[in-house]
Amino acid sequence: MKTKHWILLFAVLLGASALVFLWGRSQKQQGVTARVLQDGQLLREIRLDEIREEFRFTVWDADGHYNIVQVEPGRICIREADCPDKLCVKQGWISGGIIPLVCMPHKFIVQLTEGEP
Amino acid sequence: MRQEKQNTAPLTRRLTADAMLTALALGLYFLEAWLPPLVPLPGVKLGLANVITLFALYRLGPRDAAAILLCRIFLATLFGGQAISLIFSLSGGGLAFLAMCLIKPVLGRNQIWVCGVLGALAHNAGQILAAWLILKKAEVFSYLPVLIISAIITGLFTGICAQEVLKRLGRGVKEQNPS
Repeated sequence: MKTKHWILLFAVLLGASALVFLWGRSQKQQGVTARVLQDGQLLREIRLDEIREEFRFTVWDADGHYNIVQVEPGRICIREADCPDKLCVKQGWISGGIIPLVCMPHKFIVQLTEGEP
Repeated sequence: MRQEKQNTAPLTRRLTADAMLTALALGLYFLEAWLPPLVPLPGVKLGLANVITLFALYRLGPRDAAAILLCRIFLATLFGGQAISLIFSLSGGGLAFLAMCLIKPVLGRNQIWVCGVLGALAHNAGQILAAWLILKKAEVFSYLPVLIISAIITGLFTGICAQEVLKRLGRGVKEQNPS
């Protein structure tokens, strides 16, 4: 293959990649979805970026223990829990990142994922 | 040009050449790692060590080039101290080497840079593949456009470097394995 064909090939590939990259950036929701899991079961998925008003809800586990989750626009936390260590409550708000809110005694997890669920 | 009388056994000369190129590749690899990155994105690097791989491939043949590449990867991982980088280096370097070997027969003497670009593309593809195998998340492929762009630019640079070196270096190191 002639050299100029190679040059053309790479130029096209470069351009196409640039286009895909820019398109991807415009598409990306930057949306953060919170997933609430109890004992491995997905209970709820909440699009944090679509929340307009704060609200809270309670999750009960099989033994009657609870975790109260508070949701505000863009962030989520475990407000209250009746676990012995209350580490989950002390973790405070999360709005991004890979570290989830975890209540070990209750097998309760609130994790964040990027983009649509 | 006066033909040198070869007193050294060919195998010794070959071994010496391979060893020196391995050392050179290691030096380039760590030099690049030490320099502040131009673009702070993971996996976007110049890949200077590939100049050596390309040079060895064209001057000494695939066997020597493979040996140099493997030695360089293992030693670099050993000296660098990050065990996880081994799988990335092997998959990147392995795919790059494969691609360069496969495309080499159809390229001309002035298209060595093409070999470099394709090697860089294959290298980055290998790195994404490794990331996918480790993280098991399909999201890693969204990084492909960035790495393609990076590969074409850096591959062009290193490919041209290798091509120019090969053009200028006389019969200093002869191709031992014309395979």
